[in-house]
Amino acid sequence: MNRFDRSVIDTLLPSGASPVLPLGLLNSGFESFWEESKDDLAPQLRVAFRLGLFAAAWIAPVLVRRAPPLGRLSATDRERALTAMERSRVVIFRQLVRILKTVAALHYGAHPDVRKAIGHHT
Amino acid sequence: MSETFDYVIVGSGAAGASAARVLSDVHPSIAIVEEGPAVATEEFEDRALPTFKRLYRGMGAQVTGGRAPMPVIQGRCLGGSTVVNSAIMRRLPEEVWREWDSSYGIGDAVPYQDVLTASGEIERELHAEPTPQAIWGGNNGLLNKGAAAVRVAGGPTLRNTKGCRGSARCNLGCPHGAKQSMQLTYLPYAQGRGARLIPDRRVERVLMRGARAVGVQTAAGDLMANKAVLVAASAVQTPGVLWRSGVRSRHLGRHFQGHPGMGIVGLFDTPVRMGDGATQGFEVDGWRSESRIKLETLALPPETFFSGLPGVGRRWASLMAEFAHAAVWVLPLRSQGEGEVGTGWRDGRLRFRLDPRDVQNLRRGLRLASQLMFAAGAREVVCPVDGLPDRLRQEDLSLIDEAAADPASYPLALSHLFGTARMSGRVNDGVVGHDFRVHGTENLYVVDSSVFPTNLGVNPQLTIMALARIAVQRMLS
Repeated sequence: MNRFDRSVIDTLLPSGASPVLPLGLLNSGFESFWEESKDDLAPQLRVAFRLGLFAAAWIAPVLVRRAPPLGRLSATDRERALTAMERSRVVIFRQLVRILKTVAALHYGAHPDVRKAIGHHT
Repeated sequence: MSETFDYVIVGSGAAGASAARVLSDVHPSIAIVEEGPAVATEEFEDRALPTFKRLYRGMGAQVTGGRAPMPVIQGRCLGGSTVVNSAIMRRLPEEVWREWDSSYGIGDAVPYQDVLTASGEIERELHAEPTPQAIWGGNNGLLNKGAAAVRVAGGPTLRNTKGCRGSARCNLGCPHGAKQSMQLTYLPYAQGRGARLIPDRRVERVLMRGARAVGVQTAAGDLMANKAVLVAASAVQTPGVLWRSGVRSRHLGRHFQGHPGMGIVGLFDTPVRMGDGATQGFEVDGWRSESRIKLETLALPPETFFSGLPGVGRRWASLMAEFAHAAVWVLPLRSQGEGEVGTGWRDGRLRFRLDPRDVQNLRRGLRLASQLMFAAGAREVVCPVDGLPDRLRQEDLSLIDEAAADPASYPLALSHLFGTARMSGRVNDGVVGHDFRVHGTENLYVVDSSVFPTNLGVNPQLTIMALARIAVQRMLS
């Protein structure tokens, strides 16, 4: 993952986003997960995820009238930009955010610390 | 290299295994060929990604094309979708059979009494029982409470389980072997009588000699059939197998139907702990005839729970954090839309489009389900439709009525698949005849839900098993 990708991942779920879930996506090991799992994912999901990262980094800022890439913006503006993409009238933008979240959740929801924090016993 | 059997069955799910169960009592020389792997109970994991990879077709990422793509959920392993479903056993509703009879003329081919008789036998063999209250847990208990409060018909689901502990892991494969799915029941039964299970073998096509099916071709060699070939590869795979075998019909792959569905989340002040209790132990059926909607509980692992929540960043995290206080209920819809499973150069491409009436029914169902959540004591409801607030309070319910008419605004998934090789007594109106035999062939049968002329509005595994049983009985007679 490059720095543009990382800024998207960090915005999707930053550290300290909730008192219950202090772990952010990046420091929960998402990059390692992606490197290890990307070849396991269905090809269309893998491609859509990469497309989602690109759109979030370079198009989402424009939706809130900021210049891309996403990583240049403040944390508040980054979250606003991804929210705008998630709520966009353009169906494909909404779907790309869903795909980003689906892949992120496959990692984050399986993390032992996260499961413990939300009270899910395994 | 080829091997020879009396019968070759393509697919080991509800249909193929049920056909093998009946056939093996009479003719033990059967090969049951499955594209997916054989996975033992002790290998089932409680994490979604490895499970999707091993047990689900396309890792659960098989989607319909078009502007409002939907994931299409199917098992792909020995036992098929019965390994990853929630074990719900529902008989064919009589009103659906009447529709089959009046609109499609197949009432004589599949008499309702025969379906009921077969269903009763299967219920006994697979130990169908109402979900015991002791394993309802919070999620199922709340739907019971909500249904009682608004006085809508509902009850514990009838499930084929034996000794279920309520571990809420049906969809990841039952870790205790309590779910009486096909790889634990009918397939070993047939195997014990001499049938051979062949996992990890994809059938490319049925080998035809004139109008006669003589075997199947797989990458690892041919499997020859002296008497007949039965295709039970699912409504998505069966059309491709038939097409590659030279079957031509303008109905092949068409009339693709299913039950699109989505979930809502209720947030409660007291813990719900949906991880404790049966995955889908309670259902509400009182709106089905009017709105074509059924309501069911569905316990989700954190991965799929998280992915269905709205929001990014802090909004997303705040909802994730409520996992222990969340109840999840889903609404499968008896859609009036149809789609297509591609054949030939479009092999396997899926298309499905909701009918505008479906969106109206869905909105109505979401509103009713949300009312039930509040009646059960929910503080807020998450109804993840684009354009709605992340969290709805009771006074916000009217917003659901005004939700978008665009199907792409609803995060639907398609399950329970039907119709792509439908039955009809008239050659020009279907792919198989009243005896489940492909028109124009002597001994090629389709025994899965591809032959159903419509969707059912209820969970189909029992009806699929019952019709497969009837098909084999008819073939043998």
